[in-house]
Amino acid sequence: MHTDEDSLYSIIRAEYRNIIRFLFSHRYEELPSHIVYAQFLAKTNSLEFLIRAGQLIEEDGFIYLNDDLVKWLESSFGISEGLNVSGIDERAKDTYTFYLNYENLTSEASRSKITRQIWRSLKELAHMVRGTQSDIQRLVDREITYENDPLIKLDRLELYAGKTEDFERNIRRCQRLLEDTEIMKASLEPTLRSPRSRLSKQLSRSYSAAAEMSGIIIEYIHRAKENQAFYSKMNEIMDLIQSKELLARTNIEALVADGQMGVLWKAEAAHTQLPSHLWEKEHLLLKFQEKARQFNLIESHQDAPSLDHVIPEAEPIYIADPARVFKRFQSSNKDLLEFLIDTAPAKISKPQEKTDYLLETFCLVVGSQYGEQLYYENINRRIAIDGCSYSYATAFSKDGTGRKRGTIPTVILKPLAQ
Amino acid sequence: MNRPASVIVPPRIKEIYEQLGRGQNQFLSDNSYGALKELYYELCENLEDYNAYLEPLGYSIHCGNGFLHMITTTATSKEVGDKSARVVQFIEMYYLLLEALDGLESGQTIFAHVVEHACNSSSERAERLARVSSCTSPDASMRDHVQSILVRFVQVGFLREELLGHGQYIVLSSINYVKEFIQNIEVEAK
Repeated sequence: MHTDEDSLYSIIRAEYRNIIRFLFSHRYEELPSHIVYAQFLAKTNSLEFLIRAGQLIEEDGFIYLNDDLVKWLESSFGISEGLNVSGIDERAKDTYTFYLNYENLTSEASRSKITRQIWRSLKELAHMVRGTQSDIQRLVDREITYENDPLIKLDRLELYAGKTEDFERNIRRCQRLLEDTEIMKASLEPTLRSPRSRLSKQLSRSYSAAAEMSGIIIEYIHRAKENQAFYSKMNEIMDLIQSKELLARTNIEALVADGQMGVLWKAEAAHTQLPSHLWEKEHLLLKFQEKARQFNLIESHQDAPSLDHVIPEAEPIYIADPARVFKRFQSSNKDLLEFLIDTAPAKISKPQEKTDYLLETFCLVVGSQYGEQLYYENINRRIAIDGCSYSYATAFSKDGTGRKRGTIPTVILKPLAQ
Repeated sequence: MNRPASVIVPPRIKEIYEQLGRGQNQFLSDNSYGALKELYYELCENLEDYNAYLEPLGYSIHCGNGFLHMITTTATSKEVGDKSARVVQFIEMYYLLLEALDGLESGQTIFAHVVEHACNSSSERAERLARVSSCTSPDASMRDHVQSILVRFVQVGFLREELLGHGQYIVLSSINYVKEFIQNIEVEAK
């Protein structure tokens, strides 16, 4: 993204090239008009043309490049090299020296001369601070937005992080100098009050902006490094999958036993339903059909189950304790579903809530450690009712003889094949 | 598992349990849709109250990076053989999308045709896609395979379909659940 300086200037017409180059290289300073004119005595026409064209601004006896041209040149050059944060410190030291000189001078004429130097110095300092702050901001934005190579981007941002830190440190030093009221008696000079106060405000604003920018850069670098680490881990994992060593060389089985990634099978439970022929009640069939629409036939998120916006009156929820249910189930001769139907708590009065309770308890028991003690009939019953077909396998307790142990039973509700 | 009588019933416990406990949704994300987003913020603001109610029942709501989900605190089945194999397959699907889409971050809009194009342009990737796809038909097209993976991600709750039939999806913050899992994987040195 960097452009060679000479090749960039070569696209500017020869009569304007050196003027622009000169003003760009002094962009942090306030150059008096007479100095600029003296520098380009032979090119007065070109200078005047650039001023008329708005590329140069002449104001209060100073000449400078317009902001857009400065931004364009900076962004074309690539920036890190151009971003000079230490100039502020040097200029602040000069200013401080002027103040000290002021204290040592007694004649009115000498003091008046040094007052002018201080005035100029304060204004330049404020200009430099403002310029550097906007440079950092713009250049960092540009790196984040346009640099495609993550390694170059990270490298540059680290450089900006360092520069921003230096900038903050220099502002702090500058602020300390201004606060040294013992030395800075010259500030009492009426002509210096205003630029000193402006500089003070600028320093404070720029410090806040730099601190904020510093936070953004550090966070970005942190995220970028995290991403790099994540991608390299993913690649390592994929290599292990390829060589079929993943389970042997990682702690995945321990993590899974600990319940991690449990949503993968919990998601299946959400699609699991009870066999409908056990219910023989119309409202339950309707319930199953409604579930079918929700789980299998959702057309878009607008049709997804929605919630009331009104906050309902708080109602308790009923959740079965798998340990207790299983203990009682073991002494029964029924299959798990039949047992749950017979023993559902009477306090759950609403039919739909009862359905949910039974469905959930079934899933809770088979998904718990007690599920390992269940036997499952290895049959896939299928029944079609009212446009929906259901299939299921039944769970029995371990004591049942002649039953085969199988996988967790899934009772899946499917729309009838067309 | 019985609730102590002194615990106050939080106002939206039923809705929240419906969604997270009974599995209508596996997650509530900060970029969930409509009422689910409301529930996300309701929970974030009152997480302690909800957990105080749920913990004696054997549940707890876990707060991840931009998402919430419910975990059971009672002992669950420790059989891991089949589960681990499925987790590995899921990681493969995740990696395939990550690679094909050049990232899979919360809030990102993704398109099925981009994944399809990425798989069409690499035979190795196409092979991996066919391996993890749930389409077993020999006639299944690349589009069918891609669709099967995206549908799976929607079902589990990591994606939300934006426009029906246009293959446009939004990645939900719950995708960080997978990232957290991968970060927890420790690889043993050879």
